[in-house]
Order: sequence, then structure tokens, then C-alpha cells
Amino acid sequence: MGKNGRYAMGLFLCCTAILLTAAPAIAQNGIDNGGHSWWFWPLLLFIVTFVMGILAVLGGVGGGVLFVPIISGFFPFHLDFVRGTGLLVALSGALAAGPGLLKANLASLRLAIPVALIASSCAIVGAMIGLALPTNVVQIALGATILGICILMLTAKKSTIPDVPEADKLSSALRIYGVYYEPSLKQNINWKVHRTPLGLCLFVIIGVMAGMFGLGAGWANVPVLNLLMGAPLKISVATSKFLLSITDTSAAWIYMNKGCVIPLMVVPSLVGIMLGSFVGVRLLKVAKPTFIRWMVIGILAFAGLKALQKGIFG
Amino acid sequence: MALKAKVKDRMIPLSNYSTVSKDATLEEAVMALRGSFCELDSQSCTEAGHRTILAMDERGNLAGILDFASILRTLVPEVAGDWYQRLSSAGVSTAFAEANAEGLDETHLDLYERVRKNARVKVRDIMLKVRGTIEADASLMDALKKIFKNRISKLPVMENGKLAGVLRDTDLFLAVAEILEEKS
Amino acid sequence: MENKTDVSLEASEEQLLYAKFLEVGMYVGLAILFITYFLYIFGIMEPYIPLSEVSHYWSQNVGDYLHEANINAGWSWVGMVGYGDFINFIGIAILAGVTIFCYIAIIPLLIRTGDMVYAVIAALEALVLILAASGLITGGH
Repeated sequence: MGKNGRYAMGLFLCCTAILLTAAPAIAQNGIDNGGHSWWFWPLLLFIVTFVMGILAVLGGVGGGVLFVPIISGFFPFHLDFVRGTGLLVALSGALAAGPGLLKANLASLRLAIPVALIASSCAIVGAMIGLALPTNVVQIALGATILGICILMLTAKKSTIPDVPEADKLSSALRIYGVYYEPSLKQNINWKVHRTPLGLCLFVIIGVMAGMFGLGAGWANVPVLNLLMGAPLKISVATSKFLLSITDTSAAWIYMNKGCVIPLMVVPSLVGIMLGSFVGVRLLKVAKPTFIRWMVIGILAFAGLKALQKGIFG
Repeated sequence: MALKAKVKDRMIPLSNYSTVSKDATLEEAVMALRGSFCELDSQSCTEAGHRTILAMDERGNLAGILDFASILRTLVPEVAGDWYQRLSSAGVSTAFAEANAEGLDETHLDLYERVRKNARVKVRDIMLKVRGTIEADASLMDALKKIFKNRISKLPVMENGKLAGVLRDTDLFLAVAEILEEKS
Repeated sequence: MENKTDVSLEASEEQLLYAKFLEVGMYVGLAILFITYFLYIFGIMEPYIPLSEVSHYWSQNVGDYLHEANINAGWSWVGMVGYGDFINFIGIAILAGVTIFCYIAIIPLLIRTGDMVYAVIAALEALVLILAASGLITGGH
């Protein structure tokens, strides 16, 4: 990385550090004082989600999984509204990436459609459960899930091109297979999947969790598609992101029809995360310091503990 | 006298113009087009080549045309592409980055690799539509009008329903220039 | 080994059609959302809940919010688009609904290519999403 890149990266990291230590303090201050102008919280939301978008890209952690824990942990918004907004934020990220991934034939529609049916139906169930349960129960479940996600992120392996000896009957019947060009090997890779029924069962759980917590489920989709079902990592990542657009659509409607969407919150968050990820992608070309991933997972874990604290102690 | 000449007197005959099958790859088209600029043996390249290449279908009919801009837009979209191509590719990059798999994102590929990959697209997927043709025995004046009306720089020339050659804005310029030459 | 002759590097027709609808829907939804948000926060359209009062509502659970602000949940926002805050739901609904249109768009194509299994799955998915969007399913405290 050149001198300018180093300088920019250093400056950005300083700002992030200051912001992250200051934001909870500002938030707490806001809750105590209460007499802020109407634009205070939306603006803060925009700034925080902007940084979140950058960190999501640099840290290799989905923005959809960062939003709900961090915003519900440190902002005065009720978990109902945070989940509604979080689903819309994750949804728009998936909508932005979807067309490009589909056109490049990296996201596989044939793989996604059966999985999406399971996942989106279960997301509706998850949303219904999530809205019916008392908030503190959801907070505890959210906190525990977040901590589990952190552990998963730290330990999960990835398989660039898994070995799939034979496609299973279901995926053969549905003709779920494809081919893509792998530049590192300079050849076309034919791929197929196996253990499809087991994969679909796991997507039941993933769908319920996505609906219940308002999280983007990329952290779960990719391991199931890649490690369990054997799709190449590139196809898994692309299909997972596309899948989010369908899963989160169904859950978002449940939350929206329940009234859990406040426009004043939604737009700054959406714009913040999108702009943040564009900036993040530019920064990524310069460098990707490894400590950022640790830092982001650390922040996520902290947010998970905060959710547990809120749920247990109120 | 110059502008009253017929198109077929001034056109580049098809045999002297670069063509490629529409089912060929962009790489093949680029090599064919480059051939019009560079001598095969000496590999010395001049600026005197043609700036477009014609895409033909199986029956030898004109299917489309490729120019430098459309070629570069396809080969280096991150530089030459329009804003929504760049937005779309930013969205795709985000997807891979957020999965901690940014190495798989194709915009992270080496430039040479990206260009080679982009060159594998088929000509028919990126060729431009032909926005006007002219008959071989039409007058140069008609050709001039058509070129400006349709805002193109190359006019495919048809004779008896088949492609016979290409009339370029260069040829029309030279014809008009002759008028000034004639005066002296 | 699966039959390699029908596997192509290029995306299938239905995949490209889906992508096209998705792209258009997203840009339209985002554009409308930005315009309506602009109208909202600059006070060009009067909101139902004044901007200064919104923060009183978002710290309570959604049931209390609806009750205190006197808002009906579900699709009643359509009747309230005259208000600066509720008009934003148009853009949000488009973003949430574009996927439904994508599914509906590819069903005829799937039927035409004889892929009845996927046509059925896609139709089921469209139904699931429409059911979610309809507000007929509710979860409640």
C-alpha cells in the first residue's frame, strides 16, 4: 500500500475508533437529555451505519448481521423497530448485489429457488414468533445467537472447491448444477451439490432465525451451501447474497404490516450502509488490515453481551 | 464532381475490411481488427487501420458492428463502463467482501486477467446495432446526409441485398476535400 | 457425471429476466424513496407525526406505538400517503415487493421451457410472498 493509502487508512481508523468510543456516550447522553432536535438521531444513525458499512466490507462480516445487535444495543430504538429496519437494510444490500451476481451466473437461480421457498416461509414463521415473544426473551435469544455467530465466524472453514463425489437424487431431479470460470485455475469448474435434503432442513432453522431477529443470514447460508451441500465458495457466496433478498422480503413484510417500520429510521440506515459499503470496497483495493476483522467480531460480541444484559436485567 | 460520384466508387470493398463472425469471441474480433492496423510480418502498427469491425452471421449477412468504445467498455468496464455498470460491480464486490471472500471477487483480479476474462464474451452479446445502410449506386451526397442524420461514422454498403463494402466518414471527408482541391 | 452438454457458462434466460426486473425495481424503489424522504424531512409535505415527536415513539414497543400514535398497522398506510412520513412507504413497499414481481415474471418463461417443477415452486414462492405482504398473517404481542 502506498504512502497515501497508509495515511488514509490510518486516518480512517482513528476516526472509527473515536466514533465508536464516542457513540455510546452520545447515545447515553441523548437518552438522558432527550431534548435533541429531530435530526439528531437520524444523523447519528447515518454516521454509524456509514462506518458499519465500511467495517462490514473491510472486516468480512455482513452488514445485515451487524445492524440489529449494534443499533439495538446502543441506540434508544425499541427492538421491534430495529428489526424491521434491519431487514430492510439487509434486503437492500441484497437487491443491490443481486442483479450483477445473477447476470454473471455466479448466483444460481436454480439453487436458490427451492432453498428460498423453505427459507422465506420459515422467515415468516420466525417473524411471527419474534413479534409474539416478550421483548426480553428475544433480547436474550438474540444475544446468545450473536455470540454463537461470533464463534462461527472465528472457526468456520471455507472450501473453495469442495469435493462432491456424486449429486444427490433431489438436486439431480431439480437439475441444480452449473459451471463457472475459476481464474486462479484458469479453467471452467463444473459444480453440483449433495446432501440437499439435509441442507433444506438447516434452511428451516436459518429462515426462522432471520425472521425472528431481523438479521441477514449470510453467515449461515454460506457454510450450509459451501461446506454442507458442496457448492463452490464463489457460487455459495453469490447465491447466499441473492437468497437474502427473498428471505428478507418475506420477513420484512411481516414487520412492515405490524407497523415496525419508521421511515425516519429506515432511510438514513439504508443510505448509510450502502454508501459505507461503496467506500469500503474502494478502501479494500488499497489494503485489508487483518486486525479489522478481529475488531468487528469483537464489537459484535460486545453487542451480543449487551443484548443479553438488556434481556436479563431489563 | 466529387460528391456526385457513386458510393461504390469510394467505398472500401468488403474484401479489404475487417469482419468477424458474430459467434466469435471478442478476443478474436480484437485480433482481427488489430490486423488492419498492423502488418503481420513486420508487426509495425500504424494509425491507418479501420476503426471498426463488422460482425457477420452464418449466412454472410451483416449482423452488427463493433467500434473502439464498445470494445473498451467490455474489456475494461471499471474504467470505460457507465455509472450503473460500476454501481452493479460495486454491489457484487460488497457481496464477496462481506463474506470474507474478497479474493474471489473478479474486480480483485489482476488487470490482465480481467481483460482476458472479459474478452471471452461473444461478439453477438456486445455488438452495436447497425443504424443505417446505403445502396452501392446511391450518390455520395445521399451517403453524407445519412451519416449525419443517423449520427454514425461508418455506412455499410449494400449491393443486390448483400453487403458489398463500407463507406466511412473519412472517405466522405476526402471527397469533400477534393472540391476544395478542384478549385485551385 | 451430469450431462455436460446442457450446462452453460452463461446465465439462463429466466435468470437474466429475473435480474433485469430486480435491477429496475431496485432503482425505481430507491429513487422514489429518496424523493419522498426529501419531501418528508424538508417539511414540504406535512407528516402525520411531526418530526420532533417521532423520537417519543421509537423507544416503546410497536403495539404501544400504534396505539398512542393512533395508527392502524398493515396496508392502511396507503390511505395515509398524503402525509410526508407515510408517503415514504411507497418506496419501501417497492423495494420489499420487487422480488414478488420477479417471481411472477419468470413463471411464464419456466412454463414455456417445460420446467414445470420450477414453475410450480416459483408460483408457490410468489404465493408465500404475497401472503406475507397481504398482512393476513400477523404476529402479535
